Amino acid sequence: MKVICLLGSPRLHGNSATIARLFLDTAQKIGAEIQTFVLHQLDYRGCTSCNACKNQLDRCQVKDDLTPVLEAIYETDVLVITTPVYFSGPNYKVCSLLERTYSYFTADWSSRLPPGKKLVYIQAQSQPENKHKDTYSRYDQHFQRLGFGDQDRYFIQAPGVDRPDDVKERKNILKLAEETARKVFA
Amino acid sequence: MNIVCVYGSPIPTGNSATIANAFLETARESGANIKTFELYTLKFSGCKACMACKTGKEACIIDDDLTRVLAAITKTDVLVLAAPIYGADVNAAMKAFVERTHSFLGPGYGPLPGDSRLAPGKKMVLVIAQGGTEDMQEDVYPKYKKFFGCYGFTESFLIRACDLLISGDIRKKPEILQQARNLAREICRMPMPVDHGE
Repeated sequence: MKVICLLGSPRLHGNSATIARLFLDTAQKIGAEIQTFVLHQLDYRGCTSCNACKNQLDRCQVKDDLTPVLEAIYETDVLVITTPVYFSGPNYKVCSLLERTYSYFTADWSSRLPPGKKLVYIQAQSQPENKHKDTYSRYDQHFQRLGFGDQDRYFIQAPGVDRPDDVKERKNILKLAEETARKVFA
Repeated sequence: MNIVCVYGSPIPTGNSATIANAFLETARESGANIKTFELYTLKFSGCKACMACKTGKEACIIDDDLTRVLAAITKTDVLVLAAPIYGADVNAAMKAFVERTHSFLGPGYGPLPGDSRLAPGKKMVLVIAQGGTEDMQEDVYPKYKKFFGCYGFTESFLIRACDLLISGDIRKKPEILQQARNLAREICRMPMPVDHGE
């Protein structure tokens, strides 16, 4: 089984990354092949609206550090995306990545990704749980259209984490990460 | 009156830029002094969560092409942000820019008076071009109105064009361009209470 983890936060050991590591521990135990990309170490931009992926190519025409990431997602079984919430949204590295996944769609909006992949979207936020649920849900339909099935999209929300290591004290969130890992790798 | 316009779209002649330009043309005719920045020609990052702007520094310590954009905004009366909707929000380049405006807030974080490092009384104009229908992405403007309100942009205005499928579709909506021109005239007639401390 292949797992790709995209760490969106500029903090390598922040809350969203800590949850991801816990999740990946389980993946490692079952012998999954794990590849991690630290998005803040990659130089790339969002969609340039060239539309080449709709009328010339079956891939994104922009060639930069995100190119191998977009390619690796074609091959993976599980995609883990982690992000802090900045200004009520995923941070700009994750926003830029999401824009580039536009290249997975054909001109008639069918997905170029092989079906059957699983998504785990991990979100850390300083605001309480009732805030920013829509930060993921606004993109849920996008992932559904990309072919991530209804039973295969998992959302782990870590609310109320402010300092970078707050989540380590939040047993309920850590437990959710472990439970999700068990379901995903069952 | 000083106006700074930040274009988010990768297409310089696209729909959001066309609307912003209609606004700026009228403002220029009314005597405004205008500075523009195209984010897609600049090299910059979003916020890196270093918190320097909350723990001793008075401005963002990242030194890149956005530094002079942020500096220009501290001196402006009116800020025009023009962006397409990609996905569920303004496009990522504009989002990255907005993340860096976090440095306008001091350690108090806002929204209390005195938390912002900007002089109060500035005006913000958000120009949105979207492919979706009017009922979609309605939440985008209130969100940015709130954030910029914390910085001291006491008045905000929205010009939004929906159902734009391709670049250039805005020409089928002359009423939106007229709305932009009218708003420019209206804003240029308003008193500008901004004291930039010069």
